[in-house]
Amino acid sequence: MSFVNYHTKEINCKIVYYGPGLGGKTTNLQFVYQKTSGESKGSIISLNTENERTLFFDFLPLDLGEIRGYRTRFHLYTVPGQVFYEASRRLILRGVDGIIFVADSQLEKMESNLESLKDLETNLKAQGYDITKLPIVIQWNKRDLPNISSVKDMEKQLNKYNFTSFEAVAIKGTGVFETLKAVTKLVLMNLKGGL
Amino acid sequence: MTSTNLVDTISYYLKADIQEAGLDKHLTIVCRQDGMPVFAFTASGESKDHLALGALTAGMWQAALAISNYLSDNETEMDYRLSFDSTSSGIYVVPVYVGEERMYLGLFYKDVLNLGQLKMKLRQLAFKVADYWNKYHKENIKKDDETLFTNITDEEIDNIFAFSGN
Repeated sequence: MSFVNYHTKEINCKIVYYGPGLGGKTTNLQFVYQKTSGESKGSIISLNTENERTLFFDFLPLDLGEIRGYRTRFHLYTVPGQVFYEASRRLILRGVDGIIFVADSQLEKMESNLESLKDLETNLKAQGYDITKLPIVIQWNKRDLPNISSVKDMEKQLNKYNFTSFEAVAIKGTGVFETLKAVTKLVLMNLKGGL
Repeated sequence: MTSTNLVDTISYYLKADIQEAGLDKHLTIVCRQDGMPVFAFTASGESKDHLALGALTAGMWQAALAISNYLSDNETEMDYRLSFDSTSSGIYVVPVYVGEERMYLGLFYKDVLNLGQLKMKLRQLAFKVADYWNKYHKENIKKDDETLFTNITDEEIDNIFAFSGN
């Protein structure tokens, strides 16, 4: 549910990082924050548990400058990945314009990835979204670890809708901006005009 | 999508009302359910991150509503008010319909003697927001389903991310 102010020529969009717990959603956001210059970034807000796990959400507003005369601002959110925070995830999806699904490449995490993807489908449906019509990009994270699934296998098991996907090592920043750029483009192309 | 001059409409009418009600030394914010602020005003000159406040206000409201719905499903969202305060400062949030969209009107206040009166004034403001929008909505709004941009290139995307060095 993007927000366009035609008078001031401003666009605001909401992007949500979704995926299983400890998959690297917050790491993505932290890397974006680190690499963004002071003028472009706002405060990063993290509602965490005592041991630094996301409790409700992380939030980072990102001012991307102008595109075709419109000042563009993206509001980046992460959801808590742990299974029992389902209610929180559903709330954060409200008004979403685009999603980055951060999958954990480790072999033993395949089940968690599948569960999280199914959870995403269910929650989007509950909010009235059609997953096939929403801008979604998948990130295969943690590609630097030794015990990982092949991309081919992950594509087969997790990408039945053929979303654009990227390999990443979020902790080193690899693939972080590539993923964000891809979803940004999809979201902007999906913006509806009027007034 | 909200395609609108909503910000200008609300700003124009609300600022005067806020000043008239004596709420201008506090921070008033209107944000959407997804956390995007559409209006924020304080005459105090105090600088706050309105984007963060919008995200937190919407999150706080929705979390409170979810808890409440576990306990009772008799109330509608519009019946609720959210208050988080101490004797010297606090937050008060009420829901408001702006056209077909539900939003939150929040007041972040400090050093108030008559808290009940302050809250009543905010509730009155909520009614005014809805009235102003309805009036404006009937006169001015039209929407269409055309996409705003077509054929955005990779170069344009690279340009808006140039700040990151990526």
